[in-house]
Amino acid sequence: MLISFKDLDKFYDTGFQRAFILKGINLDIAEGEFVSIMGPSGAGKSTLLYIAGMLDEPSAGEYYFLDQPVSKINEKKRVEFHRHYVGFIFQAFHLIEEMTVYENIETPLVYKGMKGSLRQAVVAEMLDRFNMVAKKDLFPSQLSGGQQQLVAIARAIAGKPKLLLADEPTGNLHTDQGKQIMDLLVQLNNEGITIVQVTHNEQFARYGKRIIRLTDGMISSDTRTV
Amino acid sequence: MNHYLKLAVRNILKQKTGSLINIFGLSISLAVCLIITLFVVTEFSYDKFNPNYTEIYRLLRVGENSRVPTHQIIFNEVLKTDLAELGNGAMVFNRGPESLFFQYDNTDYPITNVVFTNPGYFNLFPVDFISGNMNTALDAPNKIVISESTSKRIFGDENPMGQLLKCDNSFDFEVSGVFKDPPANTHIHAGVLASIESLKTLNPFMTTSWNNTSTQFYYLLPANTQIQDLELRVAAEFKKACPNSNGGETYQLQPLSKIHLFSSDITWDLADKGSIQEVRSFIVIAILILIIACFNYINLSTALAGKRTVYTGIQKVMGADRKNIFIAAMSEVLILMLVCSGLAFLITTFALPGFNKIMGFTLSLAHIDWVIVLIFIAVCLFIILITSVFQSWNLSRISPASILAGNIRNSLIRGKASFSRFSQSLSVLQLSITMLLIVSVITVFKQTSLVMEEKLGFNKEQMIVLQNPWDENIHKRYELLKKELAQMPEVKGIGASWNSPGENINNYGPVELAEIGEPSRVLFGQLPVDEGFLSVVEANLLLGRNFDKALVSDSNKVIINKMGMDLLNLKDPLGQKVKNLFNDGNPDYEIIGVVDDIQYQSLRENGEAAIYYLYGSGLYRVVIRLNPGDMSASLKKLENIWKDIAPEYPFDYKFADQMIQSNYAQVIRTRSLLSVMAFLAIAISMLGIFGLGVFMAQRRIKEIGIRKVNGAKISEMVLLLNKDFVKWITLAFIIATPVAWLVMHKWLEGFAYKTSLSWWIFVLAGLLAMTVALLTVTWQSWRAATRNPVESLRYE
Repeated sequence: MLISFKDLDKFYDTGFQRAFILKGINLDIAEGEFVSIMGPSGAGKSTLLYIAGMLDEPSAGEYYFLDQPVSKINEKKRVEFHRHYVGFIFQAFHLIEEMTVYENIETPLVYKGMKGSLRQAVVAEMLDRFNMVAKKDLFPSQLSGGQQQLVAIARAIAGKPKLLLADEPTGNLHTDQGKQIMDLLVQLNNEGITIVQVTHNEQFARYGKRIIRLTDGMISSDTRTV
Repeated sequence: MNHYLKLAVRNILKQKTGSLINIFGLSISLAVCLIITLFVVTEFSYDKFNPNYTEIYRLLRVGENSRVPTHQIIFNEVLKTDLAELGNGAMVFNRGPESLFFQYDNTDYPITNVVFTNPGYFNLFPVDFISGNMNTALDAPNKIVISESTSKRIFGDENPMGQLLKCDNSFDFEVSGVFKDPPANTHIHAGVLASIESLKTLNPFMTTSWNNTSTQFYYLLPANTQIQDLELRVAAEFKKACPNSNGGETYQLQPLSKIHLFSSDITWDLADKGSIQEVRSFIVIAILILIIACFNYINLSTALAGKRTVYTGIQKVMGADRKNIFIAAMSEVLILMLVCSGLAFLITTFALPGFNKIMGFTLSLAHIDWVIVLIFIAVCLFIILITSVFQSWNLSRISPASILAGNIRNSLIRGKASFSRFSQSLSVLQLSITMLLIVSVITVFKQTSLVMEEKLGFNKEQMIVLQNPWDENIHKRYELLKKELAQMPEVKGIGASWNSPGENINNYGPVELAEIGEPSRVLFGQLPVDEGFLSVVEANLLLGRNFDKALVSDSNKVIINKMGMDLLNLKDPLGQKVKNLFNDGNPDYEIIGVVDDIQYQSLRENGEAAIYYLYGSGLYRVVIRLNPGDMSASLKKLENIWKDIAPEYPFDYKFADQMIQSNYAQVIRTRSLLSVMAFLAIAISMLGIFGLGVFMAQRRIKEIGIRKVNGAKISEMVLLLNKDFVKWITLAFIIATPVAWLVMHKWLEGFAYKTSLSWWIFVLAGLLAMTVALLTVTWQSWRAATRNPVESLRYE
């Protein structure tokens, strides 16, 4: 199993109260799935996503990534997971503004320790695939939102991750651009990448093969789409 | 690596405000660091060029609360014969800042630091002879050796060898050698060396008396010498040989390496002395300034742009580990430091002449050698390391989840919330250092005004000191001058003395109570004066009366100072009889008055006992008090009178206030440096505060919007934003006060008279920091507070 949550809680203690963000989450996601997480604001969708991406930690319960308990792995291993298994895209794109398109895509490969020539080849491949070759020397601020998200995706998958986590990837995009991005995600999923996305958009959620609904930090439904 | 550097450059260029503040602070503090390194290295380089550096020792006589480097010439004769180790020595009788006049071709050349010594001098302090040789140059009376520059000055291109120089109109010296000028970093700056044999005719008393202690002894001692043992044997020799010895004298052999920097407690010392205390405090100040600039860097680069935290969050998501973040942080500091060190050299080039002027240094960039470059590089590397460690640590603590969730606006605000307690404590520390420096400046100013104004014991204004050179006419000249000046309305008074206030007392001799004898013996500064002296300097007569010329009997009366009265343990000194052993064979003197202590040397040393008595001859200093008016006209008139009376001597005078000033050159230097540094510290830390003000206002923009929508006034908002800064400054005040008190208390220990560390000094420093800081941030706060809340709240 790629992702496995067992009795997962996330809470904050405030004064005399304990505020639960997530409560009693039990969830398995296998390799190759495309999961959409839905729910109202404050339901804990993003928190769940960040815990899955090992950017946040659960308060109780256990999270197994590739059958290894994440709470027991060290910092170094966690960085390894980030480098080789997990890619992220965000609503706000979060490209590095001081870097060109090319450099943005290249950065995770640098961290991965990939050699210069190989890196060049991989980035070229990505640029080619996303039709960005002509834009490789532009800075993010010179691109449209949709293009920025494309670069963000290219960056996320350049390192060939097993898992792509997307936090409302279409939230800042027009419907057309959004559709384009969703099509791309489906395509990536078909190539074997596991995708977990958080979204508010019913229509885009249906691009996933499985929809999980969260209400007040608990899973209220878990359905497969047809 | 390329990847990181490229990004670092873009980051620096993008954050203009922050980068400018950082570049300003870092390059100025690096320039300070460079200048102070230059100073420190120069100070430590003294005498190192001497091949005998590690084997030369200077003999010191250790008293109860002082060490003295001067001894009786005949004592060296004893030591030389009795102690084999001390056979290889040099005697140095240094005339110091007092000029001797050498006459050649009817022109007078005043020369300071004339040294009388024996041929052995050149064994210890080798010089390069251009002509003459070290063995014969000083082997007979009336021979002198001069430096190349002195030769140029007097003889021009003529060959000086064998030429005669008339000294003080009475003695002929024959030039027997010329040597290359030694480097400037030596503790003896002798341009003219005369054979010590000459003193036998010049001042025979000096070469035979056990009561004349004015000559320094240097010895060449091999590394295996038992120094402590030798010191005891010297004391034993003294006890055996000196007729007046009470056996209590102890001796020390001071290594050459300690003479320049570790001699500030030594009195009656003409060595070119620095002060290790000064060197240390300069180093500390440089470090403090660097710390302030580094804190700015750490705080601003993490706080000023909230983007930085987002950026780190993204890096982490992309798989950056601590090492990657560290390298990214380091690349930025590295580039910044490269720019700053270049600027630092530039600033130093432009600032050094001004700095030299303020501080009285002669530092030059030409003195930069590899040691200084290495120190500078080490400091830069240290800063790079420290700031990048702090910064990457600070950044990698942030949880990316909290930054990256949601949309940009939201994340920016959350990202900025990371301005942590850590950063706050850096700001507080910065402010504390600034306050510490302000307190130091105020205290040093207060202390200098105490010792240079209040504790003088005489009135330094409108007072000039004229040199009356020694010859058989010295007394006649003075009487003539006195008569002439009596008719000048510009002159308020005239008096004469062996030494004037504000310069060292030349002679010391034991004085004891006639009744008690030896047990009451105390060393007194010997000051022959005329009857006008004490009134012309406006000494404060505490008891009894001044001398009266009309009373013939006053020739066996003395006036002592307050310190002398205390040391002799006299409750009722008037009428008491004392024996002055300095004047061999004189009758008992009667004390007729007590004056408040007059300041001779600087008050770093303890006040000294001094005894004043009437004496017809040896009144080398004519003290003249002028009435307020056209000073230069009065001086011109005086000069003309002098030229009439003594055409053979130059009109050589000093202003008393300038003499005092130069006595405190070092303290004034520390004061100037502290003032400049405190100013820079304030400037750099206030820039930091300004940066934080921008940041704090940004961080709370939403809060302000909400408050304003709910009816808060602008003044209330400004208050709200300034509250944090007031809190920090208060905290800084609490930290700085005890530290500053301790530091200043320690500094004042070096003075015999201390100013009080009044409470208002600390309050003033606190208020000053508070005022400047609030002025700096209020503008930011006001801008934030007057912003339209709609702008900040629109997207929520």
